[in-house]
Order: sequence, then structure tokens, then C-alpha cells
Amino acid sequence: MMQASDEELARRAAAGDGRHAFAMLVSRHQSDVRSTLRRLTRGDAARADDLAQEAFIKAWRSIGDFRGESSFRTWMFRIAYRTFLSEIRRNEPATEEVEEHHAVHEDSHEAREFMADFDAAMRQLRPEQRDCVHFALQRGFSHPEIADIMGIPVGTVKTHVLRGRQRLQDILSQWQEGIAHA
Amino acid sequence: MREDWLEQRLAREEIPLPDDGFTLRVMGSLPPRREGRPERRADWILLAGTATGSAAAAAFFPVAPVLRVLVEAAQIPWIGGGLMLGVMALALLAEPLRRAL
Repeated sequence: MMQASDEELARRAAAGDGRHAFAMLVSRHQSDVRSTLRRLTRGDAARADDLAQEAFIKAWRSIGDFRGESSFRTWMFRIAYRTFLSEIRRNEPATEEVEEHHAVHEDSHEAREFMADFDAAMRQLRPEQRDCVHFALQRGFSHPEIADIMGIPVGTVKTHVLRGRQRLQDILSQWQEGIAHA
Repeated sequence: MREDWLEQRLAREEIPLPDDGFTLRVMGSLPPRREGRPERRADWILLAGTATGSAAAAAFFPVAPVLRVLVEAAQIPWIGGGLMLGVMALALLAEPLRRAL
């Protein structure tokens, strides 16, 4: 049986009660939204889940305004990103850096090491650049979609992704060469 | 080395987060759906307010003399221009007011 598209589910969620359709949307996108918020909150899983919950509730409240001008996924991430930004404005940003725990293949020690290196390299980027790189490399959004999510010009996104990716690749390659020579 | 090796490596290493009851928690905390679109409700409030105000004005105030004075005043250029500007300002303010409601 063909799966209903996000946009179809959003239309159903907006019509009448629509809870079942909305539950399917939450289930479909919870992983990506929560993972992104974990990155934005520097690995604070509890805070990230609270923000994700708040974002989905906002989405439910305004699902009638979703016009399909962007994909549902982009629209949902825009809400999640703005929820995160409002929370930062409400409270002082956390200074303590919590070590990020990614869901990686458990049997792979190498995978865990790679993700730890990747996180360390990401921390060397400026926040806006880091967010752009995350949305592009880890969530697969296009430059215009990232601009829509973050509310910044497409040109800025392009520059951030280009320079950020290059810097990450340089850092990671240097570290890997270092390990190989050791 | 391929240009997109980093994307490929990340896609390979990262696996989806398990739901662990997250969807149920969200669904349990959703507020009930409000009847009607808020925008539509605001439209009705404005319409009802305008109709009530107009009816009250027609019932309690001497409309005809006021209209006569307005028509006469509108023939004086600066008053007529002022009235037109006032009407335009009201028209411009209508949409922000509707949104605020």
C-alpha cells in the first residue's frame, strides 16, 4: 500500500480532528527533529526533547496555516529552529558543553570515534555556520530550504555550507593523517 | 577522495533515534482543536462590531445634518483632502487591526 505523503497527512490533520494523521507526522519526523535539537542544545537530550515537544505542539496549533509552499519537513524544522531560538532568548544560553551522544551503530567502535571527531570539528565552526552545515550535511536540506528554516539569505547559507564543509574536511583529514602517522 | 565523502560517512554512521514513547507524549499534550479558524472569528467580530456601531449611530445621532455638513466640508479642498487621507489611513489600519484581533 502506498504511504500517504507528509503534505496529504498535514491536510488531513488540519481538517476536522485529524489527530491520527498528525500522530503519523510526529512519528515520521521525531527522530530528525529531536536529533537536530540535540545538536543545537549541545547534546542536552532532555532539553532537546522538551523543545521538540513544544515545536510539535506549535505545529499542531498552526497546521491550518500550512499551505504547502515548502515541504512539511522544511516547515516543521522552521518551527523547531525558531522554538530553539526563542528559548535561547528567554534564557541565558547554557555555557556548559554536554558531550553529545549520537545514535550510531553500536557494534562499531570506529563509528563512535568518527562521530566524536566530527562533533569536535563542528565545535570549531561558528554557531550559524555550524547550523547551516548540520542542516545541509546531516539533514540533506537544500540551500533555499536552509535559508527558509533559519530565516537568512540563500547566499549566506551557500557561503556557510561551502566554507564550513571545507573546514570540517580539512580538520578531519588532518586528524586521520595524524592517527595514520602515529 | 570523493567530494561528498563526509555526507556519505555521516549518513552511514547515524541511525534514527528510537521513538521511546515520544509520539505518545506529544499526542497526549496536544490542546483540543479550536472551533473555526481564528482569522475567520476575528473577521466576524469586526463585522459585528461595525454593524452594531453603525446601527447605534443611525439610531441615536442626527445622521442627516452631519452628512450635510460633511458634504459641504468636503467641497473645501483641504478638508476634502484631509477626509480622503483619513479614509485611506483607516483602510491601511484595517488589516493590522484584524490581525491583532
